[in-house]
Amino acid sequence: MTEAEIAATIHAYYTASYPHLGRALEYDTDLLNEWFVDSLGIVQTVQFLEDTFGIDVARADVQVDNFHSVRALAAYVRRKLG
Amino acid sequence: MAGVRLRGSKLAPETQRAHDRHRPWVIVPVFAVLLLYCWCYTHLAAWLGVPTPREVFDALGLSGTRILDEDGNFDSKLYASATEIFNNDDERLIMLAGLFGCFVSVYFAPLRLKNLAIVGWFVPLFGLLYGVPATVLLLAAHLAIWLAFHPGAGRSVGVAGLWGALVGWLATAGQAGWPQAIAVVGAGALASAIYHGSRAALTGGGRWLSVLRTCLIQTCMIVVLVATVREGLTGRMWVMPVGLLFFCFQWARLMVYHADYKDGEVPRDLPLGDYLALFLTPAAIPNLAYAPYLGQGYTFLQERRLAADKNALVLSGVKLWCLALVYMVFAEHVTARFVVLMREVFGVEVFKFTSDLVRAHLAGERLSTPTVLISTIVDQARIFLIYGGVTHFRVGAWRVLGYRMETQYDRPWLATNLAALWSRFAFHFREFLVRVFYYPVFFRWFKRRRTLRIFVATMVATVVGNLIWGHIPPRTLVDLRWGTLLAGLSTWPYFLLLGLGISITQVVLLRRPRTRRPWTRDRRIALDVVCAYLTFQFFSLIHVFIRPQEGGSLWAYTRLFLRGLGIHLEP
Repeated sequence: MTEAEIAATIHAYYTASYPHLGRALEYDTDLLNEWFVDSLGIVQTVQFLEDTFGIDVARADVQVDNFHSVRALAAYVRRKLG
Repeated sequence: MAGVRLRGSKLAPETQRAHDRHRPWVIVPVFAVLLLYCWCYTHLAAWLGVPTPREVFDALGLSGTRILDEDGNFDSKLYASATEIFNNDDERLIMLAGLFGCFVSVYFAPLRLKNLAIVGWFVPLFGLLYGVPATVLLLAAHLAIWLAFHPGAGRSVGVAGLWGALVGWLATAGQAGWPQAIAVVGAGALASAIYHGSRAALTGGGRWLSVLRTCLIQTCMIVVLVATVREGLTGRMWVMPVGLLFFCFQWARLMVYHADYKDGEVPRDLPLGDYLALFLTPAAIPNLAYAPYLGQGYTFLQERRLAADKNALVLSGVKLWCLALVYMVFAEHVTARFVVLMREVFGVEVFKFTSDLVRAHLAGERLSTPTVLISTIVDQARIFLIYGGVTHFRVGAWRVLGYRMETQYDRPWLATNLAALWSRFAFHFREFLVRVFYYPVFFRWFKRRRTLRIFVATMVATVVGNLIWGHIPPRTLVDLRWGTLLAGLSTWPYFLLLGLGISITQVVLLRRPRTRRPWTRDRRIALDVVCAYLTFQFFSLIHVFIRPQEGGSLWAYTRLFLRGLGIHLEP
C-alpha cells in the first residue's frame, strides 16, 4: 500500500466520522486543533489505524509528530508497515 | 479539538516570545473586573464610602433575596479554603489583590522570570492567608517531591539543606531562640549531607526509588487510608495541618505530573522554580476543593503557556471572570425561583437539593416521578452554575497569568450523550482520568478485542479512577473518619451507572461513527434536544446514589432511582 493510498483511506475515515459542515479536510489540516472533537478522537483513530492497517500503535507513538495531520498519519502508518 | 494533549506539542521559545508582546492597556480591564469582584464580595465599598451592593439594590427597589448576604454585599461561593485568620470578605480581598499583583508581575516579567513571579507572589500571599507554619509545610512537601524526582538538577544539595532546615523549623515550631536555630541549622546540614551522599543512587534510579516516588505522589491516599483506619480503631480523629491539606488537595495534579515524568516528558534537571510554579500559583488558591485538577501536570501547562498572544489570553480570562460573576450571583436565585414556579404554577413539589429529596424519600414521603426527575435536574443545574462560576474564575486566573487553558465547563447542556457530557462539564477531570487510568489500560490490555478494550479502559477510568482517586480524597481530607471513607465508598452505584453509561456510549460511537455533527440545523435537531435532555436527566438522576443520608440503604436509593424512571416499588 502506498502512502498516498493510506492517506486517502485516512482522509475518507475522517470526513465520514468527523464531518465538519462547511469545511474541507486537507491532507495538511491541523487535526489536533481544527478537526478532532476530544480525547475519544485519539482513541478512535488508534483503533481505526490498528483495524484497517493491521499495525500496533504503541502509547509512545501517540504524539504530535505522528498525529498532527492526515499526511503525518499516513507517513507514520507507512513506516509501521515497513 | 480543543485540549487533547499529545506528546511533543510543546511550544518553541521563539513562539512564546512572539506571544509575549506588551499591551499595557490590558491591565485596565483586569483591574476593573477585580475591582468589581471586590465591590461585590468584600467590604471595599463600605471602606471607600461608595454605595454598597445592598444600597444599590434598595435604591433600585430590588429585594436581593438569595443574592445578598447579611453584611450587605453579594453572597459568594468564591472563597479561600480552610483559612481562619481572616473573615471571608477580607480573605477574598487579599486573594484578589494578590492575584492582581501577580498578574502585573507575570505580565511584564521576561519569559525566564515569569515562573519566579508566580511563585514569588504565591508564597507571601499564602503566608498571609494561612500563616507561616502552613506555608513552610507546603513548601517542604513540594521540595521533597522535587528532590526525589530531580536529583540531577542544579543546586539540589542546597535545596536538600533548605528542606532539612524547613523540617527542623517545623519540628521545633513551639520553641524559639537557640534551640530552634540549632535545630534548623543542624537539620539543614544533615539533610544536605545525606542527600549529597545518596544523590548518585537517586540519579541511578531503581525499584526502591520508584516506590519512594510513588509513595510521595500518593501522600494524599496514604494519609487518608492511615488516618481513617486509625480513627476507626481508636476513635481519635486527626485534623490535617493546612499546609499538608493544600498539598494533598493537589493529588490529581501530582499524579499527572508523575505520569508526565514516567513518559519522559519532564526534564530530569527541571529547575526548582519551574517545578514550584506548576503548583504554587495564586490561581490555585481560590476554592481548593473545586476542580483541584485544574492545570493538570507539567506537559499540559508547558503546552499552554503563552500558546496564544498573551493580551488575547488576558482578555479571554477577563471575559470568563465576567461570566463567572453572573453564574455565581444568580445561580441560587434562578434555581430557587424555578422551584417556586414549579410548585405554584404547575403544582409539582420540587426539592432544591437532591439530599433533601433523598431525606424525604427515606422519611416515607410518596414522591411522584416528576418530583424526582425535576428535583434532581434542578439540583444538578444549580451545581453546574455554581461549579461553572467558580471554575470559570479559576480558569480565568490561569488565562490572565498567560496560559491558554480550556474551561472546565463548556456548555454541558449541549451534550447529546454521556461521553460528551463528561467532556463538557469536567474537562480537566476527564483528562486526568484519561491520562492516568484510561491510556495505560487501553494501550496495554485486550489489544485484539476491540469492544472489550474500550469497555474495560472506560470502566477502569470512570469507576475505579473516578470513585477512588476522584471522589474519595475531597470527601475525606477534611473529615478523616472511617465512617466518612465508608460513606464515600458506599456511593459506588453512581460510579457504576455512570461508567456503564459512558462505556456503552463509547462502544456505540466506535461501532457506528457519527455521520452528522450534533446541533446541525437540520430536521434531526429535535432529536438532539431529546438526547440532550435524556443525557442530562440520566446524569442528574443517578445522583440519588451519591447523596447518602442517615438511615439510607442501597435498596432505598435504588427505589428512589426507579421512581424517577416511573417504577414505583414499595419498601
